[in-house]
Amino acid sequence: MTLSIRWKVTIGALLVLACGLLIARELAVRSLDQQEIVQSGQILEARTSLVAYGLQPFLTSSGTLSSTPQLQTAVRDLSARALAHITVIALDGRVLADSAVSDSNLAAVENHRERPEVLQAVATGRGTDLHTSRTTGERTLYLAVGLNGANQAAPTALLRLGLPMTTSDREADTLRRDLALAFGIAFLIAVAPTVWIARRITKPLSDIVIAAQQLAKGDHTARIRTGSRDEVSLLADTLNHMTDQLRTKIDELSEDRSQLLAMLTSMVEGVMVLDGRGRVLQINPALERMFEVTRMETRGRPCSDVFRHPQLDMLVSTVLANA
Amino acid sequence: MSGEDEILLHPSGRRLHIEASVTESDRENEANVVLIFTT
Repeated sequence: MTLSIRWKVTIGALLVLACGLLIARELAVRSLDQQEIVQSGQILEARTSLVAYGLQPFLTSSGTLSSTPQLQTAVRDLSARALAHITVIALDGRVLADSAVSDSNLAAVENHRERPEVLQAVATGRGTDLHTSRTTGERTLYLAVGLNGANQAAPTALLRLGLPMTTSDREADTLRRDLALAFGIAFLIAVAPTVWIARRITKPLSDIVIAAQQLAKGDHTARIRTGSRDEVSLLADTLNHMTDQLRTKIDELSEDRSQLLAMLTSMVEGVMVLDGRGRVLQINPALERMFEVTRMETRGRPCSDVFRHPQLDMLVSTVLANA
Repeated sequence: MSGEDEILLHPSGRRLHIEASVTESDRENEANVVLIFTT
């Protein structure tokens, strides 16, 4: 099945529109996500400072921090107040307390030394990362900072806060859904104007095709009319000019042919015209009478077949051979 | 190139004088040889 140019233009335009809307939707969702990450980062920064302050009583004067039930209880309490997942990590990566883990399971929590935010915090005193929590399974924004004891220059442990991005993810999903609906409606509304515009663009071409078909059928009066003033209109004008010239040439040839036939008809001498292979192209009425043949029965046939006259055949052969 | 000859028509016994002339065209379906028959 072949599509008309009108439908190719329509489908092409609609595909471009659909791609544009999809890209716009993804960019909008991504922009919202980035904005949420920045805002969550600022919130996380403030809450981390407050939690670090709340954990100061657990740091001994030498700056060491031990995994105790009291620390675990305090971490859980602070987590409930800060609405964040709190982890206290030793510099070697051992988890000393975790708000999302029960006391009995704490020892089984895997070492956090290789976590990106922990690696950064150990190296620079501060680290952030956004990844799915292995403990909660939620996409979480993490901030890890060093915990310093009184008069301690270097951190003796790390405090890590994780802010689940569930609200942000939900908002992104909602936005994605709303935009899909809005863009879907916009796409459907755009279908009719696109079809109309494609029809306007391609109609002159269709008119040219119709006129060309009329010309092919022999109607040399066919004219192409376009309302536009663009390349299609220029093409139509050129074709109209070409048709005029063709009609003039055909009229001239027709006139010449009529005159030639009139001359041949009025001649008392018989005239026969042959092509290069000795086939009869034309004979005049005088020759029809001389040989009692008709023009229709001789046309296109070899001269030797029509007249069957050895002397005539020989003359024709000699003339053709020497031509 | 041109040529001429006389032929005898049967059964009428009429004699026809033929003059043949060649045109310059050598394309198929174009006039190449013109024969003029006179009594």
